[in-house]
Amino acid sequence: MKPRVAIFDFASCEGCELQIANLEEQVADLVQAVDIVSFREVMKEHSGACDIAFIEGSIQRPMDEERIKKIRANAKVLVALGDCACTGCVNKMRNELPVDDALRAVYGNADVRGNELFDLSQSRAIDEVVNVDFYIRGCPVRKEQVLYYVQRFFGMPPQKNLDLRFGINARGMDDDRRSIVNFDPNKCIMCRRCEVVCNEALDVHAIAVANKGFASIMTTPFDIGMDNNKCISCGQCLVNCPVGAYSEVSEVDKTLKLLEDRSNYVVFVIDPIALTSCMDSLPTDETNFGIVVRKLISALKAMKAKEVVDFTQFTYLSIAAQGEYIQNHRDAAFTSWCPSASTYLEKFYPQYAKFMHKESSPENIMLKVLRKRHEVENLKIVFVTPCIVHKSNGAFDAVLTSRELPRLLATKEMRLDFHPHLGVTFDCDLGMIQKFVSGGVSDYTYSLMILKAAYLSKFKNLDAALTIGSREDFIHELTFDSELGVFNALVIEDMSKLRKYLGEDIAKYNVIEFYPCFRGCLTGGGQCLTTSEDEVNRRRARLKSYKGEMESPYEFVSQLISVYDKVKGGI
Amino acid sequence: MDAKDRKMLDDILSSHRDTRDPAMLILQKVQTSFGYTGQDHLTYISEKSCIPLSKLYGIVTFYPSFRLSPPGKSIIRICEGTSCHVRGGARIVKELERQLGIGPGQTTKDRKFSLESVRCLGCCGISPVVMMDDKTYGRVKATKLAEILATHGGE
Repeated sequence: MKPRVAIFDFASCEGCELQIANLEEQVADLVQAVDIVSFREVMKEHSGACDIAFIEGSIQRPMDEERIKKIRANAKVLVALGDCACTGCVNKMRNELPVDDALRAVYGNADVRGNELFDLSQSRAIDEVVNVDFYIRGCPVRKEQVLYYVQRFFGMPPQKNLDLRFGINARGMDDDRRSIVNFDPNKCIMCRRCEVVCNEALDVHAIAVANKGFASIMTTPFDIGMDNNKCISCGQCLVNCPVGAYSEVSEVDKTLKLLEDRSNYVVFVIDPIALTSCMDSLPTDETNFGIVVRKLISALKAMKAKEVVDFTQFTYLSIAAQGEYIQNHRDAAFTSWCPSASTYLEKFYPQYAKFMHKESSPENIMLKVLRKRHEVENLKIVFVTPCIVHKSNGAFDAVLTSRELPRLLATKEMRLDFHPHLGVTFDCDLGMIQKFVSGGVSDYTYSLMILKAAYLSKFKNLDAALTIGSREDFIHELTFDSELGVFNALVIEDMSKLRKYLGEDIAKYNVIEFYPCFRGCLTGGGQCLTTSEDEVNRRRARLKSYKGEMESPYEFVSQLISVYDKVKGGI
Repeated sequence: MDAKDRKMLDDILSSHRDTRDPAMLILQKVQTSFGYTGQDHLTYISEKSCIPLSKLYGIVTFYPSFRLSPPGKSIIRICEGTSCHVRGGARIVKELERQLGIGPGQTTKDRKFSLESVRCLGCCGISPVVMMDDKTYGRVKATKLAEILATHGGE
């Protein structure tokens, strides 16, 4: 029997239904696959039970509530169609007004009291009343999109809409900068969130909206591609897209191939921040972050990874390397660990690019240490990271984001529960990881600067005073006064203010740091959705539960120095 | 772009040095001076004026008064208004697209013709209507198109 489909409307303009009616020729194909049992806009007959109910509009009155509950009880699957059904959209703006004022604004002095048709309560989205299984957003929804999802739903081969010009072409410039972002215009709902993030929050201006009306599309100017444009590969378009139109170029297959070849010596380097967001998607019921990390190490070993290494220790070594660099170079130094930040400087301020000390970045130190430790020909490094930007770094053999790691485990049907965690630790222990596993830029960036300053003072056994000031929201100024002289640092957490500060005289600062992602790597461009404040706090708590509080940065620094000296001497 | 073009763009930019939100005004002047707003022009303006290229591109693709490529020698305007549509305008568009190998808003490779679709040319009585530069052809039939194109330099 063909699945029965019904389309119902509540308070709405019926524009979304009209989009379905406008499918015209394609509706004929759909009708062969389904029975449409109720569609008020195009047919008269109605019947009750259905397999799939599409709901347009929001809930206003008690009678609406009764009706939607009845529909829910009769439908196996319920789809919210359009923004009114998904969020309440324009209808919900009425909630700001008292009901009487709203009625008077529309119906004047007509007496509508006691009439159940006008019995308004607060306007609500569908999922505030009943459970919704799927959402199709848009105001109105795009017909191509409805078709795309419906075809996917019924297992029909999805038909690409050829009228839509292909949007963002994300090809890289050369082999070294591999293309990293995919964009699917069939999924895009033109919410323009990526554009707002890229142009206003980050001030990067890589994404443009071309044309108008239904022909409008997200693209790059003249279709020149992301990398040839101003894109800094921060991946914020990925984590801010509500429908997943942007995706990373997957390297899961590549990783599997590396693992299959037995002659390879595959080393997984894991940034623990990447695991904080994908923990919910990992195949396990365990809720303790520390145990999940240890079980993951065992699981990767079972997949024939030779070693699993923690990335955090290289970030700490980077602090030591940068501290040394800053002492020897009194010019302003850009010490951001983020590769996107250095791409930003290359593209927007080429005159400052020489102040970026790439040698001291955690990735470079990591590559050096690993290559030195394993002088084998077939050393393959797979980096698990919260950011897609590392995919453009040709030095890694494969880069997996938080979203790809669960997929990698799924291909081999790995259940983490069956793998041991007792006594399991990261390999390649340089002598400090057991205490302070935290990953890259896990918290407010200036806490990192404190660590860097603490390092500076300890390195020369100096007494020093550190003052932390704030020039405005999200702009921190740190002054570090010691026998070595005065060091000034500027930390910029809000990229939209970056131009203002880089435009002025930067020579008065010894260190400048900035990061495109608003909460550092916790909201990095390769993290799982979503990046709401609550979710970020949860990730932070997980990290904390694992690493514990750092009691004394000074004590830690002396430990770090001895390790750094060892690394410099060659391990 | 040669030095002369660059000089023209510099003049346009300097005349709007003190204007607030000058993007639209600059682009209109470029359109009138060059006949189109091309990639070279926009990139140059963006570098000199710090207006992001993505914003300029958004503007020129939004408003129909801007062209992204130089116009052809003859401009064909074809009416897609109600009256012309009812009397077979859509067929004329299709036939023109077939003969010229371009769609509305595009220019042929030999730069002879640009095809533009318009809403109404104000002479619905003789629809469907095609306008070649400033000459208007009424009651056009698909079979007559080749003849009309030939009188304007087509093969």
